[in-house]
Amino acid sequence: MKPTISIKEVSKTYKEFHIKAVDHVSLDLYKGTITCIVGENGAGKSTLMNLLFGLQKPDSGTISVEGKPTSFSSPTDAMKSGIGMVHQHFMLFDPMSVAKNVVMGIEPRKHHFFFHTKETNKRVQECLDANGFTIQANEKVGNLTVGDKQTVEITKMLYRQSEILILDEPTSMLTEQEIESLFITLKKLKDAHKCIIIILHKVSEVMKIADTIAVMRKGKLIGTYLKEEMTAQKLSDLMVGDSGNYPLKSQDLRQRQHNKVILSAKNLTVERNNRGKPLLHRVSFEVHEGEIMGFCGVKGNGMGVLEAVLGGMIPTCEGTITHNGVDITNIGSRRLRNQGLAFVPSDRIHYGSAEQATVEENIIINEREKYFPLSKNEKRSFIHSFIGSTKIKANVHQTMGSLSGGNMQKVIVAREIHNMSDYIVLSNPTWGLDVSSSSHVHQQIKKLQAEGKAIILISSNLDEIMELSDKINIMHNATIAAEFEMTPSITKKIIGSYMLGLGEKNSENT
Amino acid sequence: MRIHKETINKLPLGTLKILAIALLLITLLTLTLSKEPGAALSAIFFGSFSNSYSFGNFINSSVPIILCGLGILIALKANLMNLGGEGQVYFSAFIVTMTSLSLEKLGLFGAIIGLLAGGIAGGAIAGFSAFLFNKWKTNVMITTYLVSAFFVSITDYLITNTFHNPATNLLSTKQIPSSQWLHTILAPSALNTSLIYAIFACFVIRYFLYKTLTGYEMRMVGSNIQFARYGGIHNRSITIKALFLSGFFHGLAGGFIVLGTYHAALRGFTGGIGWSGLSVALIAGGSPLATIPASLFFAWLQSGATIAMQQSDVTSELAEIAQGAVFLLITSNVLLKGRNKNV
Repeated sequence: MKPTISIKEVSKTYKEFHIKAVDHVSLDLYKGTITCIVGENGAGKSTLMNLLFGLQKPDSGTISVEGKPTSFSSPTDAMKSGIGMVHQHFMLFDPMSVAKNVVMGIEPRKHHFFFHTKETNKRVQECLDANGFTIQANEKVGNLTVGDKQTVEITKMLYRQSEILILDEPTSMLTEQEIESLFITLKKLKDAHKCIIIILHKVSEVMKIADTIAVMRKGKLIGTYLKEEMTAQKLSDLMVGDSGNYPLKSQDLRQRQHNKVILSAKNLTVERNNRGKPLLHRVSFEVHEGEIMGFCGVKGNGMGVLEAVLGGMIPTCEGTITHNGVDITNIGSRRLRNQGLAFVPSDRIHYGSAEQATVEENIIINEREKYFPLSKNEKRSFIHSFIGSTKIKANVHQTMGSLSGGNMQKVIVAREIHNMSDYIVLSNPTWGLDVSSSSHVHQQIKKLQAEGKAIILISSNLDEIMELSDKINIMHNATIAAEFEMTPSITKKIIGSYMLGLGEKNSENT
Repeated sequence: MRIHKETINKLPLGTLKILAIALLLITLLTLTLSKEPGAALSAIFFGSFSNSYSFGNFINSSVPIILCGLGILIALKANLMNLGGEGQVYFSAFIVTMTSLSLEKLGLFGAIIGLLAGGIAGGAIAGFSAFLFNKWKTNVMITTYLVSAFFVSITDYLITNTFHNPATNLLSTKQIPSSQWLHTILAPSALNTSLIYAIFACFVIRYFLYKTLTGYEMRMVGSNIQFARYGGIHNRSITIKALFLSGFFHGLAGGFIVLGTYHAALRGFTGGIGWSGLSVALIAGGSPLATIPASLFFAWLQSGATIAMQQSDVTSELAEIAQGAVFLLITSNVLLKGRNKNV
């Protein structure tokens, strides 16, 4: 059988981050097959799909559709070749009807000019019925459940007669029942000889739906496997890889348990405005003096929400956070800062800095009230001592946006550490950084630990978590699925299987 | 002196190009419309410098534009667009007149209180939009405009009915006593000491924005509101402060027109100053000091066209067309820039 899509030696590098997102990947995709692309965060799955869908251009390599080499310059081109993509976040207009959303861009016209509402509704309803969907074409998208919205997205592609369907993490927003019905739909489409490509994180789901499994790790395609030759355990091992021993922690863990509790969180829960799964579900933990508390998990399992709650960016619906016995639940970022919050956010560009402002202006944000009354010379020496400690070569008057990612992060970390009180929240602090910048950040974290600060490290980088943490909380499905003390018996394999939702809630190890 | 690099500075179409387009437009229009284009053009371009009277009036008309420009600029720094300059200037001018009149006995001191009252009135009008924004997330651009439109009508009514001075043929209030007038600088032109205050205000605003805590917080909110929130800056109070100050400077503009030039509130005498302020702030690219040359450019266009109307066969609407072109080009430029940033 000839492959429908043939990807040959495709590579893509993000120059600004020095990351090879996709590294010489070759992959064949066939009609009537469901191919799952799996891998950890940053393994290059989404980038590969973006290349396929024309959202980005490969640096090298070719993509052929039906034997013809193609070079899509935009999603429109890709759609013309019969490729449709359902993004993780829906691209729908809530106030408009299902039918109007479906025909967006290829609307039926009356006299070549007017929008033909009747015809639209009729055609879309036919398309919905033909595929056995129970949605009404004239319903407003805003009134639909998340699962139904996804069905609308799929209908959009079917209406365009796409033969090749790409779904980017389609299950992450859905409830269990909705996932079931999505899988039934996908199996029907497979029987209708569509070529289906799904990005999935969860091993259990992959095992349920896939015919072929392509495993990616660090931009490389590790291998393509038939489902029959794969087990859940084997798959999770392939995804996380296995490497290295992690050094024993210096201070005895038992000892640290008796240290003072700096920050404690109880039953943190964040609900979504509308129905659906909670974004964070009953998360509780205590961080002691001199302890690094690691949180890891696969993207979309509540780590970003936890970060936002701890950083005061969003309120928690239930539960409490106390700092040295003082209740700091939902007091807002301003008072949190006064209470001693130090926070390195995962999104260094949108939250951690103001790109258009100067480096100096970015540095002083936390200490602005102290900074402005200073005299000119005092200000200068303040800034200079600061820049000196970060060891970056930058003019403080250049804009923050002109710094490289690594230098930007060094400035942010230095700012948060400067004059910090006794705890710090770091989220993906080395994401996208090169080796030397990463190790700089890691050294800073270790130094803080030695000084007896309480450190909350949220990261989807397993190596980082295992190297630094004293305790590891594994987030899965918006809650802490398991917690471990970091001992040599803990391997990446064990953690990986919990991250992917294979393990049971584990309490013996806590 | 360090000029901070702001986004507005880096427009896709250079500011100078836009100004050149405006001049080209005015030239082309004069060449097509006028029977004596030579005389008309020389009046437009050089009329403002032909004698001290014209020159003084030209400089004087830039004063309220400078202050309005500053007002817009402050709001822009916090990423807020105040489109209500017109109503804020107009209503404040009325308030300044009324307060000064009722404090006639205090002389100049009464006028100063009047000026402050005008500033506060302008600030309150703009601040109301901040309140609406904080409470219901209404669009500031729209509410400032609508609230201001309401005050324009109210002021029209008050000037022509309740407080109309029947002793004149003008649709105006009573005149304030000469003891409250600002000193003339270049008689017989209307140029007065308000020019000095306006220039001083540019320096004050520059100091405020770059050297004070509140100014810094305002700029950070404008630069990246999430970053400001992350750093614990109180966004709501910054919004109120920024819009109040914006309205306050529009109020001062209205006050200086009354105290320096007309000495009374006349119906419709603001004639688009609020909009000129908007263009000027955008041309100045976020720099308080650049507001001065930008305002002079606008005032020069206006005064040149007025002189051309008196001396040749063109009408003063020419200036409005040119100003309109500048406004269109520069706002679309800024909006375009904003759109590109979001992509």
